[in-house]
Amino acid sequence: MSTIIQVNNLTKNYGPNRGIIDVSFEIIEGEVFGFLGPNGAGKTTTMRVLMGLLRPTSGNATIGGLDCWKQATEVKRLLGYLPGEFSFDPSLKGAQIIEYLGYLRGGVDQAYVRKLVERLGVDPSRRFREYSRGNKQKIGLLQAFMHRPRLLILDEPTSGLDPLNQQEFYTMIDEVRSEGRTVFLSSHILPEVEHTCSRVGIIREGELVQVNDVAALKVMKQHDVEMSFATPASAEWFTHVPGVISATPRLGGLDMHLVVHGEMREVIKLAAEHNATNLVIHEPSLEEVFLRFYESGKLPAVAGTSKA
Amino acid sequence: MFRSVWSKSLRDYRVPILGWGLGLGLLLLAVLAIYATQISDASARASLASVAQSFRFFGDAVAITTPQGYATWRVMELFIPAMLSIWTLLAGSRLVRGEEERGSIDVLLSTPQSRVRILIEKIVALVVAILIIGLLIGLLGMAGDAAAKIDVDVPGSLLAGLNVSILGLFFAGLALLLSQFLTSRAAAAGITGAALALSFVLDATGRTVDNAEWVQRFSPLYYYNLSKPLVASYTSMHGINPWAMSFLFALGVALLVVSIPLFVRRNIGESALATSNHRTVGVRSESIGQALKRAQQDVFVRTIGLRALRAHIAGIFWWLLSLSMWALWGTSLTKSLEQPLQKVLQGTPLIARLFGGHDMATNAGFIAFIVFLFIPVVAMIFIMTQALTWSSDLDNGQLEVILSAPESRTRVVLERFAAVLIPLVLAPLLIWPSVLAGAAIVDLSVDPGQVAAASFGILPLELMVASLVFLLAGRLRSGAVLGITTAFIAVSYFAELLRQILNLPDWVLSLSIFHQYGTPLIDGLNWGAFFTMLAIALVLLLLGVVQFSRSDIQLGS
Repeated sequence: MSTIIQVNNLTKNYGPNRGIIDVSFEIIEGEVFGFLGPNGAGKTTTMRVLMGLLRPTSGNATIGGLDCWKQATEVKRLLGYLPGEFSFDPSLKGAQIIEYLGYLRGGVDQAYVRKLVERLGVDPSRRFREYSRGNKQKIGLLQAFMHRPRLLILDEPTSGLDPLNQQEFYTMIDEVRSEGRTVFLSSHILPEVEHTCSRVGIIREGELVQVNDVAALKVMKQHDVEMSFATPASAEWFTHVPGVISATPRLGGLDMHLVVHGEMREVIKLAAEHNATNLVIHEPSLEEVFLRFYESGKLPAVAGTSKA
Repeated sequence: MFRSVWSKSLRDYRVPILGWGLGLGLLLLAVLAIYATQISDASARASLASVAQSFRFFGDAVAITTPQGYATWRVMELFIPAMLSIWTLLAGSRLVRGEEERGSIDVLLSTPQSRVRILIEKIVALVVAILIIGLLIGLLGMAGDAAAKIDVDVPGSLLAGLNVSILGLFFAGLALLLSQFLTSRAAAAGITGAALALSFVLDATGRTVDNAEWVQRFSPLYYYNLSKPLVASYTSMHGINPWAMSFLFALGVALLVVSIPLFVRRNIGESALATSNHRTVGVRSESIGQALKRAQQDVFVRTIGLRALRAHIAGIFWWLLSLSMWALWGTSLTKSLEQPLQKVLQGTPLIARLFGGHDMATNAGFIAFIVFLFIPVVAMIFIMTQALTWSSDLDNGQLEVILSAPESRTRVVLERFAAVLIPLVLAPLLIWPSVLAGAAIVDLSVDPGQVAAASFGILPLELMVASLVFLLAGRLRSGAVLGITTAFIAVSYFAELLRQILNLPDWVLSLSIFHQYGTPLIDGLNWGAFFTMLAIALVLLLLGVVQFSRSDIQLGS
């Protein structure tokens, strides 16, 4: 598999505490890559640099081996883009917008466009200013997908969509993936990323702090373990086990609450040795992992994780 | 200032209040002061009176041999009220429709305030802003009295400010009312602007055409001009006609008040007429296939340039029609005004200096004054408005998706420039035959070659403005671009218009593009200046293209 997006030490300064700092990552052709981070973290800035809308302060970014700034026009032949806030000529009808952008992209398959319009359930006879936010977003998705680009760059794509259309969007992403095309999407909705992406990058205050498989991030999760014992248990049974962050006895030791990071095998073994009568492992969602990360300021260290 | 809708709205007006109030007030001050220094002897005054009689279409000449009468005729009868009305009609059309277009009215209406209250508070803020501008004009009028070394007429100056405010209020009300029926702010402003132009034509026609006085009564400018507060002797009540002022005020208030129930009852984002005939949600007006097929047949969505041209075609049509009509009408006046003017100007060249030094004793000289003294500046403002659409599209973030298409930035900017180039070339192309047609109507002999020189001599001026806007738009927001370009046009224009009075050094004057334009109708085209300005315009455009190609695209506001 070849690399389609290569970002090397990319920095874009707007002023104090704004922009992105020394961001490096790569995206492999055919994968769905999620970009996670809260508002203002630098997701949109990174995407706009890739789109050739912003000039990097230092470092560089390439798409398909082409420099995103110097060869912006050639780069755009490869991709479809949905900006974070899709704005367009308010007097144009949906059909005219599709036709216009179709012409600018050198022509599109009309049958496929019609299929997309029907799938998303958008009325193309209305003017852009008459559309609801969700329908504007549908037109935005339509124009990004309609020419079957090799790479899709989507900034918060499900923003404003109803749950039914969100599901339709996930199906469209699955289709793109199955056709071997690439998606780079940003979001702050973790279940969405968990659902659609194979890898994620996490950006915080302009710095990329983590790039990993979604599955690997799940391994990083801190499990909450609730155990019950017939006779009072001691916290010391568990505190020496690697990965156990805390052990808190309750009800005089008849119940025990553990926070465990990583492998659970040793904990389960010890619980069995001490005749535990009940054991419940609560697996937090990626969202909880993410929130813990942002609260604490750092991700738990896990073997194999890296920035690129 | 953020505690109520009205105080917040008034805060939003602080820059226009200062800009328009001080700008128009200083103009009145300057005209009063110039009279004292330039028209000092009796013969000059007598000549001025004759000229003013010949130019009655501009306004009534009353007490023209006094500073106040001269200032009234020169700026208070048309220029200042027209300028203020342009701002008030823009503000009136923006009052709620502008917020609807931006989507910000939804949040405002989500607060526990009734629509009636919100609109009334916005109207109050606008009325207060217009009154403050009028007050500033009045105060600077008093300063003008002092500069002219005449008794400071406090009530006269304040009433003059009030009178111009009342006229501005009328056009604000008209624009607000129209914006209830039209879903586009620009359309409401455009139609009100056309109504303002029509007001002038009706008023001027009534003044200059025999037995046509009755048409004046349909013009708000007529009721405005029935009061001349700077000329205290004009009426028994310090120059004002209280009935006319009250009538105009009542009309303005009525327009504002009628807008309130319309706003309250209509759907946000829709026309007041559409409320009862609303398209049912979920019902398509045409099938998906029909809509897509119709779009495929639309040639105007095939390139960026064609789309830009189509988006502004209505405005271009009205501007070009107005320019052509002015060229035709102005030229057709030549015959009737020529003889009395010649008589006056033979003995008093000083008067000519007040009109930019034009020798008006010939057909060509007169047309140069009446048509080509104004047409170039109007054409430049027209082209500036067209070029500014590029700047505002950048501001609104509407290029974000366009730039995701595989079109180079150079191509995008040049296509948009080409869309401006078409009306830019059409303007002189239409002015030329319009002047010839106007001359033919009154059987006037003019040299078609010289008229062509005067018409096509405007091209580099228009190009300079368009290129300047494109250069600035790469870095600055559209408000700043508008301010700088307007200042460039205004300074250039007035430096040339008042060159004989200001006595500017030659090198300063040569920086004015209007000076470089000269009077081609009389002197022929100055090819050196023509090509120099073309070259400068091309350099500015080139810099603009390079600038845009290298700069960051800001997120829309």
